Amino acid sequence: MITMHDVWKTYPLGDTDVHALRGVSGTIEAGEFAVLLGPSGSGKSSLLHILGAMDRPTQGKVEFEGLDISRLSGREQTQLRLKRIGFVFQTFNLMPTLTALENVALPMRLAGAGKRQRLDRAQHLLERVGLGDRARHLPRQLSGGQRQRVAIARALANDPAVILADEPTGNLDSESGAQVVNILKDLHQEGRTILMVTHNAEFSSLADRVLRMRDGQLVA
Amino acid sequence: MLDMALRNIWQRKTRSLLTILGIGLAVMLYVYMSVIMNFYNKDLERQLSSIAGKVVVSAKSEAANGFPTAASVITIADAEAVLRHDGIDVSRSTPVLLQPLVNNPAPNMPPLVQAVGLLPGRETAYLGDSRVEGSAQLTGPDDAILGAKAAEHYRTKLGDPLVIQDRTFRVVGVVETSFELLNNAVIIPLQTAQETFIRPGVVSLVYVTASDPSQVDQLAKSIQDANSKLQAVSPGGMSRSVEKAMSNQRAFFAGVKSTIIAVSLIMITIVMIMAVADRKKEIGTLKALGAGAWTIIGTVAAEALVLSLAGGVLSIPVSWLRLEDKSQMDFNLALQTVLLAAFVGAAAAIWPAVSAVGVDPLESLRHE
Repeated sequence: MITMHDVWKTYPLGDTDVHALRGVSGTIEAGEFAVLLGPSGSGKSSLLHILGAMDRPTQGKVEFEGLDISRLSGREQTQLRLKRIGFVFQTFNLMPTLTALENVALPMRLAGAGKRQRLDRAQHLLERVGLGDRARHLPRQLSGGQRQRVAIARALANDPAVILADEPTGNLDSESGAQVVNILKDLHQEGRTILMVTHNAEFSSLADRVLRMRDGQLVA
Repeated sequence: MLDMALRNIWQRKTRSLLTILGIGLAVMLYVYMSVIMNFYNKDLERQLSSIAGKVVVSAKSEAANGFPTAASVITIADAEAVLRHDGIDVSRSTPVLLQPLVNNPAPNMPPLVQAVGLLPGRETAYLGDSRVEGSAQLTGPDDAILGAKAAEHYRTKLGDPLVIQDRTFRVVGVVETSFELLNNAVIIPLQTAQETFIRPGVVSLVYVTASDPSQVDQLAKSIQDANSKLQAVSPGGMSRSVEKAMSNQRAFFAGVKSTIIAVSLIMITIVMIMAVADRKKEIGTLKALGAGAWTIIGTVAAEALVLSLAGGVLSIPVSWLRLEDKSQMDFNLALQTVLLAAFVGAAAAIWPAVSAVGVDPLESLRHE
């Protein structure tokens, strides 16, 4: 589903260059639950952002369902993110003025879905993550774990090909974190492709495959 | 994205309220400038029509250009020579001495209250067909006929005494008219005016009524040709003269109105730039989720438009309540106000919207 060919990401920093990624190659297969594991600063998030069409590699190629996404225009990348990729962020990133229901419905709204259709589906997705009774709550009225579950529901809104989760448990207590990971596991069992970035090695046992990163490279 | 814009506005109530208030005040000022300009334009049209068949003779000098002004000085001998011209209806013609009593704060505008000295028995030369409560004739040396606004200024009514320059007058008539120059007038006998204001032997103007209104232009030319120190302006000439004077006023008001628009625009732009900066993370998230440029622009523009329109629309009833003559706030002016507010909102949204579109989703996701 996602193939990386010698991906480099370099940031200029004054007189020197910082290589966040150094020739990363690999594949995420459809239906796979892969965990990208590594210490802080190893390049995990940089790689995730490139795979999620939010950033472009300085060098190399990334193919998403056979399409070279590193050459897409900004508008094409936006459309790809909207329709084929679901993101779950470490800091939840919910819209503070929208209810849980409206947050989940937001990607569908951006994709042009009708109001009734998107609200019905959003309600269904919230029930899927166990928050059907919290639909009218604003994010500030939800706990951290609940917010992250809303974020997962939102990531599923447009039935994406892949879910990319960047440290989804990073801001949660262990109980909430376990809840979130269990939801991701369930989604995987339904056939979803999931790539989760984490620095917590405990989650590696849940994955089909563990990709370890260190200093911008995938290591064995 | 209007609902998101409305919620964003509600979330920052204090800032939104202050912005709406600021826009409302600016738009109110715009409305007042428009009302004042409209009023003066209409008043001048009415006054020009009131001097149909009349010739206004004044001293030929730069200071005497425009509508009748106290700066013009004519000797009484020259004035009497004018009145001896053929083709004049003497009973409706008079020399006039003008003396400002309360100056107008706006530049180059007629005084707010002005003393008008004219020959007793020739009052109709100045009053025309205006309705006068009381007497329209100055029978005694201390009689005074006041325009309604002058009477209001001095807080006097028919029969009351009126003290000007230590001289006590008796109000024998009050004239109510839409003509500003009459409304602001304190009409007294010419000799009394010359004594009171210590201007012996001079007048400001001669109001001449043609015996045959169709000959008024020829009469004006004849008077002017007879005395090189004088200029005689017929209604046509007066109109051109007034238009020249008014062009300065229009430029002044246009300048004030442009400044109001610019200030309002800058105010909303600043508020929206701050709003975009505050919500960088939200905007970044929207972009990460797949919001296109037009969605982002629409959200920012909607917010700016709502703030601006709210201020503009609220200013309409407030302006209306504060106007003395409520009919001055007509549908056209109200529509102009709303359109102005919409324009300000739309224009002010451009820079912040472009800035929002340029937000890098990655930077915003890292933004705390």
